[in-house]
Amino acid sequence: MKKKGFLSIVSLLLVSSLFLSGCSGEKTGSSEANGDNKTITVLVEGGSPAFKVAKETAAEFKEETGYTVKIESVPYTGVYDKLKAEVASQAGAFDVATIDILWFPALAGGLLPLEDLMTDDLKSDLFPGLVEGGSYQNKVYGMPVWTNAKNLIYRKDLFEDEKNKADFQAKYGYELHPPTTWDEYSDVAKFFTKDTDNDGKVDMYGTTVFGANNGDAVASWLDHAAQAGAKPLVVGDKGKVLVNTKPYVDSLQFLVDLLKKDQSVPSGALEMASAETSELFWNGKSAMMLAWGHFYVPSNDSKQSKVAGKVGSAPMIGGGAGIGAVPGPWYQVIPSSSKKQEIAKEYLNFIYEKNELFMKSLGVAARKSVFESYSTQQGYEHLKPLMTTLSGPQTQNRPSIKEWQEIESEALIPAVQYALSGEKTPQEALDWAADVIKDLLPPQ
Amino acid sequence: MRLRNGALSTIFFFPAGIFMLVFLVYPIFLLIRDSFYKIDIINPSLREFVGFANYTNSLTSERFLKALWNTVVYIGVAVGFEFIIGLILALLLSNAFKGSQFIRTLLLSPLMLAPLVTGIIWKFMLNDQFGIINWGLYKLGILSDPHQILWLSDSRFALYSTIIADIWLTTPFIMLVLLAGIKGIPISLYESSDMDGANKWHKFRYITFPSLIPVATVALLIRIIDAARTFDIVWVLTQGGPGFSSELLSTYMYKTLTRYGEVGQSSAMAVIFIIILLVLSSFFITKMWSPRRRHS
Repeated sequence: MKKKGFLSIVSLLLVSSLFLSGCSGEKTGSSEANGDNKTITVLVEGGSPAFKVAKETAAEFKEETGYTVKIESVPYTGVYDKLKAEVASQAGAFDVATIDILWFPALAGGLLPLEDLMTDDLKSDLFPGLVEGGSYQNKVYGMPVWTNAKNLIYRKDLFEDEKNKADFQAKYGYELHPPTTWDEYSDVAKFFTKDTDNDGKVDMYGTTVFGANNGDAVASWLDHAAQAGAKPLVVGDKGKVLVNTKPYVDSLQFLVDLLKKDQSVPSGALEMASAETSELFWNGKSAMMLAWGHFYVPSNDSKQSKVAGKVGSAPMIGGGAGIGAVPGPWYQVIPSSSKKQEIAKEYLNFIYEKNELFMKSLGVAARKSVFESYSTQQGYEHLKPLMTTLSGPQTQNRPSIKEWQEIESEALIPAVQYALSGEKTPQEALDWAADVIKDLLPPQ
Repeated sequence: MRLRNGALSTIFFFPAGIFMLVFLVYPIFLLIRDSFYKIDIINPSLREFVGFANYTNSLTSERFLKALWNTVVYIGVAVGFEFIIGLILALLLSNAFKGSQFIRTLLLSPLMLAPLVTGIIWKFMLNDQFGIINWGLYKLGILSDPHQILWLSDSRFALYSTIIADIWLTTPFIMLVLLAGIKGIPISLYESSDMDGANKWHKFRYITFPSLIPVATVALLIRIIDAARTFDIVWVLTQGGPGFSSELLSTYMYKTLTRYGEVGQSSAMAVIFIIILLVLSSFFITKMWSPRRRHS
């Protein structure tokens, strides 16, 4: 009996020591990661340009500062999830992260303000709206690494074909050229939508409409809303919901017409976004695409694209209010829980000086000077049109509000999908969305 | 002796008990506590007690009720079909024929795939541009156009498309359990029914089916709970879209927590969800499978 009692006490001790060692293990782990040792931890999206640049420059940074750069790479949404957990727990697991502009409002409370890094020199070398995009409630939290916007990418060979030119002129009464307005865009899309192998099925489309169940569909529709005169986007002063006003309805109607009336885009719009669109274009099945500017580079790469060498780039089309697009820049940030803020700031400056590397790996960057020096080089023909789009009169960021993610998922994505599927008219869909958004916004 | 056994079993229970306490009871306690608060995810120490507001918000919100209804449809259709197909397959395979071993192994293969992988496979197969399902139906002459059915992006079909993937994935499980049940029925019952001149239908109706009820109840219970918390397949295939048409409680709770950072609201939904599941499973266990009733 005594022996049994002894055994049970030993087993109890063993079990409890397991728990205790679990706790203490975590503590030593985190203090090791954030103590006085000379490493900084950088959180990036795996395989992204940020990942490549961080990897390429790690050795040089160590040489300059003596700090080893530890790269933690996770999938796109993983960056947000990890950083959000970091912001909530204040564990100090990361010193620098590269994030999407969309995440600022949700994360700003846990980020370090970077006013002291934003010198006038630095600001003057950045595109308009880029510093504001990385700010929340008038405080700068993000150092831009690259900016981007949707541009028109088109099949140069088809546009330059003499027969196409003559046919287009005969049908529409003006010369065939990369479209600059909504009307021209619709005409060109209709013109190129064809059954090329005469089997009774359309196998070549003019362009695509984005309607997939993600933010890309919303960004794409908001491009057109901006072109039609929407400014600011979605939510105005004092929380006024603008989403069911004319520019928004007109632009959604424009997309519905391409899909339903003209049928100049693939019918499965509700599964289309950037990836599907580029796949279609690279396989030679569409004449144009409105895609993120840097898609021009892989479009001309014969390893990825069957139409390499035949691709041109032009600025985003314009609506009644001129050229407009929603930029999609990325930023480097420092969580305020980082225990190595000074060296993290040094790292931000170091990467800013290496901005050219993003141009090389992605085809876009943040600094005007980098854009300008590359825009004359072969293979970077998309930069001039992209600069025109980024400086467009209606180009503007999505609203920087905490509720944005929820507004996008709960109101805007469904509204775009309701309209594209024909379940509701654009006006009905957006009236519905406006009601949902009113409920989501805090009372004014 | 009795006391010593009692003490001994307590000691044996102790490690598992601590484990349950730390990893089950305590988190559930936190969940219930959080469901009464409004919590700022950036600064969780700023919490405001709101009473039952999170619960009333959920129970009166159209979104929540729609997701709840979709979950019910999902469970009903998926588990219903899985049971019927699984039963038919089990009956077929219970008669040994040449190659039945091989077919049984083949039929079990979906069970070895992760739901996430199943989701990705079906996403490709159901794609309206290049998916094999539409293409097959077109080649068979059932569809006039290979892009005709938008499985994942038509709000009428999206939920059912996710159910198809679920049926494909877990029918083998039901089949396996029912097969084991059939194998466990004493052969003497069939022999004596032969003497009484019973035909095949009679044997199924009066021997096989009643003998299978306890096994089937367990299989159904496991599957219902499993189907209720389905997440991966739906997330990969549709993310709940288009326009919430395939939104389940699990995907809605996930969005509410991770995308919108509404800790209190999602906790309240989770509590409601747990209560529904508990009621459902206790109904099954007490009404349909009570060992005590059978003994009496």
